[in-house]
Amino acid sequence: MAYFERQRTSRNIMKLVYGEFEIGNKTKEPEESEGQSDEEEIGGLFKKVTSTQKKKHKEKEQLDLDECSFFYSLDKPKLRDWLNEANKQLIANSFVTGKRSA
Amino acid sequence: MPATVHNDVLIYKGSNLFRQRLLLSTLSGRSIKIVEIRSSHDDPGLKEYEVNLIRLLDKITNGSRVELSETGTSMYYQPGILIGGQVSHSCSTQRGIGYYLEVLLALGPFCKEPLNAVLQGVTHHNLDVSVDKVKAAALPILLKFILVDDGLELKVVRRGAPPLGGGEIVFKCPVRRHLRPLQWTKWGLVKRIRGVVYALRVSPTMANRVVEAAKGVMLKFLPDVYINTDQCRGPNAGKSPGFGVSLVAETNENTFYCAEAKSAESGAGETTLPEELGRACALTLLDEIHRAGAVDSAFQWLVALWMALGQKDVSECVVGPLSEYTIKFLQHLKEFFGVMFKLEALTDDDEDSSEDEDKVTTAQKIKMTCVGIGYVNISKRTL
Repeated sequence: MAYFERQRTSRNIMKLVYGEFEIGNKTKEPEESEGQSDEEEIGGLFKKVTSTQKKKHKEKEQLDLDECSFFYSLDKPKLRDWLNEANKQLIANSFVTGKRSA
Repeated sequence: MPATVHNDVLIYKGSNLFRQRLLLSTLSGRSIKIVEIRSSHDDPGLKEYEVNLIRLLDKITNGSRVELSETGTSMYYQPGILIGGQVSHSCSTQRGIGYYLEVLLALGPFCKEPLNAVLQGVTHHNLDVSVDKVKAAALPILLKFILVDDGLELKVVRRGAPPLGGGEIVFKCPVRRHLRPLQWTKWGLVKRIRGVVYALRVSPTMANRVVEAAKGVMLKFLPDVYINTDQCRGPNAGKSPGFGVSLVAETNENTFYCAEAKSAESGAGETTLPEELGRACALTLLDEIHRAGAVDSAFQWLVALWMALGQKDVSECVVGPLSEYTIKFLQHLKEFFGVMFKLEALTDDDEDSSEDEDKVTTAQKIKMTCVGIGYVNISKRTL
């Protein structure tokens, strides 16, 4: 369901899909400059997780996922209870028995 | 993650989307290299089912070259020419036959000889589309691209549940010089519900209980519900016990949505109640109907592939919300073929549903448009 939200909120689907690509194929990975200035230390003990690190971590998690072509691929979907009257109204018109469109 | 290109070889990291990459590599003729395959796992390298997929690709192509590193954590694949023809393959039981069948389906029209494949293995699997689903929902899509059905066929000879499998199917696919462009923007209304319930090495009443529950839900929406039971006996029931259901909703514009559910594997420590299974499957189908679109969500990527490989003409298709898998596939299509789709979110222009509430809850529809690259099957001569 979070996925629905994301697709709905992102104004531009093109960007969602092709966002990682700039125009034209990248031929080389961008050079990473180690020890960037945004690596802040808090109290000399903890390091703040930067957004680039977060992104890298996410990529790493995705690296070896099992491949599955379903819409709700690996996590169990939280389905709506379609038998609920309110929900039922949402899809009632997808059936031939639903309200006729003019 | 975008690939890096080195000497015209696409280099990827990780085992994720292995199948997509091999498939597109075979079609495009571009070599790929995949590195860091489960390199940090306890069990590094390619899994059995992935090696099995390479074997299958090797069988239907000529001149493919595969180089695996000693640890199996990196591989190089140089695709050969698609041949097709008679193939017999025993699939790994770690994945369903659907995992392999989808590849054959995607490659089928571009082979030199019409594909006639016998696949053995697990016919129903949690991670993969079942053979019933391919038959019900994917074959009609291919028909839209090839128009004339001369020998497109999928026969389920035997069913087989995980973990041991023992199922068998026969898949036949005609070849085409090129695919037709597709205009598919309407999907109509659901007019009938059909389904199959199979029971393998379990009491036949299980099947009937599933039917009862699934039918109970679907009848609240539509009177035209008919669910078949497939009681398999003897060797036709495969090697492991299990039962499951697949429901198909057919619309009056020839769109098929399909939902499936199956029992937990025997020995997994869980029990599945047939009533719950039937109900769960029916709810999944309703969810699919709610998301709508001209194709079933599991086959969005197949449509995208065939649209991209069509004649140099505009194809368009309206689908429901894109699945994660499709998004990845579109990215790969761009990398291998340089095809970019135009994707637009359609706003609801229903005049009668003016309440704002209604608009928020209907799932988004996406219109995919692209110009085919004019992919020609050079092995197929024009008559």
